[in-house]
Amino acid sequence: MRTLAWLRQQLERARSRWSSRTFVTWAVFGSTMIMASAGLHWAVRLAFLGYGATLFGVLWVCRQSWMRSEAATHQDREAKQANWVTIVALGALGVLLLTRLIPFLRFGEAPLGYDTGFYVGSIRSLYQTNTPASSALYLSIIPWYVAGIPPALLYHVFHVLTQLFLAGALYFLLASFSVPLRRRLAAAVLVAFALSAVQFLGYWWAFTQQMLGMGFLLIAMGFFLRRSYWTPLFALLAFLLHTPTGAVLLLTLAVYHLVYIVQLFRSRRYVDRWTNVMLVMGLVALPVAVWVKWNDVANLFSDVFRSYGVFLAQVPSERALEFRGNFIGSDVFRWLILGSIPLSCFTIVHPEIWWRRRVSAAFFYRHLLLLYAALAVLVVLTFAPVIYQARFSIMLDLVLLVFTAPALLVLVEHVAQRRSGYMVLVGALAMAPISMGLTVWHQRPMITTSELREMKNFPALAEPHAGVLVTDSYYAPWLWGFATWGTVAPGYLGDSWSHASWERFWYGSSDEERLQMLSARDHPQPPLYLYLGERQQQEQPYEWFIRSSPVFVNVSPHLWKFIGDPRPVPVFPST
Amino acid sequence: MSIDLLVAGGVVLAYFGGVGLLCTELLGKNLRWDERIALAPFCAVAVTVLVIRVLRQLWGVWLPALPRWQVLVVMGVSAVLSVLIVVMRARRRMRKSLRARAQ
Repeated sequence: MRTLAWLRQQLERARSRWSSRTFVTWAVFGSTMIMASAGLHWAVRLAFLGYGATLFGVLWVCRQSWMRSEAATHQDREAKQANWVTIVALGALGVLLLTRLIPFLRFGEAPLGYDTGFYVGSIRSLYQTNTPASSALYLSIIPWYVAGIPPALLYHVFHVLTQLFLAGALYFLLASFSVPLRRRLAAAVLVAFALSAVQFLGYWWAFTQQMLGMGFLLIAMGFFLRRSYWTPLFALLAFLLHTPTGAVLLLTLAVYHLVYIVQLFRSRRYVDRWTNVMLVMGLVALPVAVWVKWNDVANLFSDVFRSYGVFLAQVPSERALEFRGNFIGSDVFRWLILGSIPLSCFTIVHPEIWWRRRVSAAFFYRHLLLLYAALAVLVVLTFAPVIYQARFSIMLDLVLLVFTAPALLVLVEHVAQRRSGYMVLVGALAMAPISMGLTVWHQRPMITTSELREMKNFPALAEPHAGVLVTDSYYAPWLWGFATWGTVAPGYLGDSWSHASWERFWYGSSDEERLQMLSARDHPQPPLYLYLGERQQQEQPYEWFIRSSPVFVNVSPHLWKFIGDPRPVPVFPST
Repeated sequence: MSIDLLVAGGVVLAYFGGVGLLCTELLGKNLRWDERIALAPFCAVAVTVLVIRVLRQLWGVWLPALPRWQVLVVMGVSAVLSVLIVVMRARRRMRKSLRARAQ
């Protein structure tokens, strides 16, 4: 009985000390950490939970000190520390530029990922055919094109600049918060952006349209927070540049307005003039965007959604990678953001950290609701198996970086004041540059310098209208971008074979059948060349056939010309 | 890289910088210099996309089909004019604020 009474007394004491909000906060944090670390090795999981609990605990303990500070004090400090903020922001931009240039310094002309070839090829088509480009990205590079800059150089310069633009957009978004510490928050988000491995990988995979589109999305969100009438224009441009990015913005704004208007009605208040005007302008801008991008939208609905629905489960396995968005999977993504999860989670459950004092409902609905809406939309799109799932993770990472900034700032300001805290902080934060450095260092180019040289030399080796049949899609964009537009690859670039035909060509035992299939092929137009890259060394039946059959003439280390001579074909040894 | 290419690249950069800054000047007076710099490239891209699209849609003018030097001269002139307008407006603003402070 005495023990029970003691326990009850302790519970009462804990209840008086810990409000229900505290329990909710720790419960949300704990469940997020457990979900984020699901599936990891137990030792890694334990280390992660310890790291997360330490960071969260430190922020929680020093919460009283940063909550007590008055906004006016912050404003004074902001004015005094303006130079430091500029130095930190410029330093972050320097790191950003360095990490983006390292692949070029190490590997030369084409060190980036899969989409490089498609962009270079499209720009080359502008040069050689003078076709009016319809995509907003190509329209925006026309001034560079007119200047006569070579396509590959033009593309890479523009792609690196896009990273700086995106950093600027993040800065603008954070500077749009009407909080006293906005400059410092903006500088902190630049540091987080420069050290984000997900953003680097997005850059490495050469998603230029998406990166620029995301920049416009952030600028539109910044103008939205400033209650500016320019918001729809920048939202429209985000949509024109990259349809999925525009769709994310549209969904975010829809969720925001739904919650905001319901809250207004519940508190028996009228919808304000600005929101009304925004809704009307949005309703006008949406049909304009759909009209301008009608081809993309119609293709999405008629070809993609009608054939496969919205979820990846219906997509055939050979097209799964393409429809997932051809980027890192959700497991790798989760692994890369593990380090920042405790910080972003703290900001999510503690909106006070933005103002450093209790947040009013007006501030929450005007400034923070938009971020929470974007977070909710992107978490669903990133972790649900929807079409384009992988690409949404890059946008989710950006939103998480925005949530990371305030906690990072508090950590630096309050923990670094003590010597021991400073050491812990340096130790914890040093992990981010090390991890980022390793990611940058391990990112190798997809093709070797000699392969690229050979591709660029293709016009000199082959007849003017010769086509190339790529037997592995891995090489398709490179040949299309750097060798010839007459490139055809399994499943795209105008390919006429079904997946079943390709399987017969790749793995079938009959070389006679392969020869017949190639002879019957009318696209690309003959003379036909076949490309076998350096990674195609596994001696698959078709590789053996191309390398050894007399119907092919080896014109360069990786290129074979199909002469279609009906001489007897050697039989593959395993058959 | 040839001198010709460097000059042309410089003109394009000046065009983007100048037009971007002019747009941020027109977007709102309450933007700080750092916000303007962050916003300028997006404004320049937006203006370029809209102008090229409107020229093509309404008058059938396709910019790359015009002689290169003409386009470069137009871009150079717009860059210089944009910078002039921005500088003049900034000077006027500064004079106004000095006068207000003196009073």
